[in-house]
Amino acid sequence: MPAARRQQVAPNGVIGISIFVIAEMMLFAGFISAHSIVKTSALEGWPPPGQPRLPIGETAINTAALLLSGLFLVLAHRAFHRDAAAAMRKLAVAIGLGAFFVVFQGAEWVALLGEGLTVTSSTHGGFFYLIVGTHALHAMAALGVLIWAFLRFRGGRLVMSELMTAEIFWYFVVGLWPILYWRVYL
Amino acid sequence: MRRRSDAACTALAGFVASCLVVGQPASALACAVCFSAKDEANRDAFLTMTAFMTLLPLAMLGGALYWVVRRMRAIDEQQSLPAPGESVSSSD
Repeated sequence: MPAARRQQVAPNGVIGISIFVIAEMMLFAGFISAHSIVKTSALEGWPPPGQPRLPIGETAINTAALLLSGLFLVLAHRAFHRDAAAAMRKLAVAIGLGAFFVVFQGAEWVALLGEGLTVTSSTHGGFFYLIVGTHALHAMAALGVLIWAFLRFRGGRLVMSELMTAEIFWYFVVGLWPILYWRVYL
Repeated sequence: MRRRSDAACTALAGFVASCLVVGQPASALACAVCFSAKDEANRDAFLTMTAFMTLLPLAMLGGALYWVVRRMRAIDEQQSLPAPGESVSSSD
């Protein structure tokens, strides 16, 4: 008698992106660990004297936009089978808020570079651009995946497993940011 | 006879290598991160981050394993349910 075929635990995309996210979490854990130790061992205080202060208030607004984007993605997931049009609208809002976050971050970088905070200006600058920059790269990549999912949705070709794969990537970007904001900005 | 002398040479080399490792503890401390913490906050950062870096992968793997086990149980339960209209007690 042939053995009964076992149902797959999770779609391949979900498993693949989960492994990727776990690996990336370790990368950021290493960054945060190194940053925390260097920050507490700085002889002249942190941030070093003469270096611009990071825009805490403006970035808090940006953080709220990113969290809201994650919330809209959850709502899009819930509406996927019930109301496709509503799900697509929510996905579009999530993408819009995510794009706002990335553009706002870019504007913040331009302002900070103008104030003299560069990769080589201090360890503060080096860590800031390394950690926030790596996160921004992930945000842009995840945004690209969300846009790809949206285009497939619009064409009526998106399946739930593909949406879940895009979601996991975006939730990683959204969930990681408050930790980075707390460790790097505050 | 030749095999016995080879074994003796290997044992002697192992003994010398062990003596060198045990006798050179100062060299073992000369790594990039072996320095004393500056103050209380720095020491706390070292300890916290050591715990963080140790526990994070374990927590992630544990979480993934828990999720897979839960998911497999759910699939098993789903598959063991009788199809609509199918008798549960049918033995033939």
